[in-house]
Amino acid sequence: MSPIASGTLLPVLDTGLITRHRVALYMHGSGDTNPIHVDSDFARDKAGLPDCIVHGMYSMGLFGRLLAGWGGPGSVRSIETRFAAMLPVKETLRCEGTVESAEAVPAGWLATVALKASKSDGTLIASGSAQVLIESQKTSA
Amino acid sequence: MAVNFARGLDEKNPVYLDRSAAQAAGYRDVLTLPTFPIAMSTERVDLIFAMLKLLQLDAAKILHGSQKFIHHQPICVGDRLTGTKRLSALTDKKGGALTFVDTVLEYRDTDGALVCEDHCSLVHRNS
Repeated sequence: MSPIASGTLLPVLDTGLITRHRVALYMHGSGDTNPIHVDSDFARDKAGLPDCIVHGMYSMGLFGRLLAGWGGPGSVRSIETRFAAMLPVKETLRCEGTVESAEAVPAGWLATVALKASKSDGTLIASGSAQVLIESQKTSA
Repeated sequence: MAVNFARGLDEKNPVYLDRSAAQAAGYRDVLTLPTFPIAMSTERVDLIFAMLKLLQLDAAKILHGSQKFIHHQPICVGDRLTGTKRLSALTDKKGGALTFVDTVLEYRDTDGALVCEDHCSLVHRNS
């Protein structure tokens, strides 16, 4: 029987404040240098936004952290995200994962996880799904 | 680059941050996070602009609709990969108000083994 029951909640990832510094580091790490993410003058004057917005892929990156934090490094076999809304800087994001099913595979169990990221007021920012390999030696330990 | 990617996401596990920690865990070098391949495709964002021009779509009207990565092998700092991208679908939706541009990008190692697939869906607003 699967050691990973459907409905299992992954440990929630709460980001704390997503600061301009974190967004700037991510800009360097991702190569996405669009000024809308780091230059508040540009965001306001050229894009008509109140302030900078966090990269959409930042939310997906957090899903990656959430999943790899649960299944371990290298366990994420696939990850998929739909972008729902813009996230302003200096916001927090709450990333949640729920196991939908788990199927037996030769190496262990392949869990399908539903993903959701929402900002402090509850607005959905991104959703998605993933497949995470839980190796049998890890589940029996 | 991969380390700043991890630091920006506030990752604390040293296998994503430090070579000796990654090697102690059995990896060749610093391990990348599951969505790091986006940085590999962004390095050649010029190819995306060239494709949009060829399709006669306006880059300023493009939104990133959805993104998927399928991993076959771990990707570490220092790996040499070759990416090949193809247009997989071009679909009009909402009575022609939107055009979806779907691409598949495959990364292979120096032996030709498939390492990662990047499925990207861009949305063009046709107004």
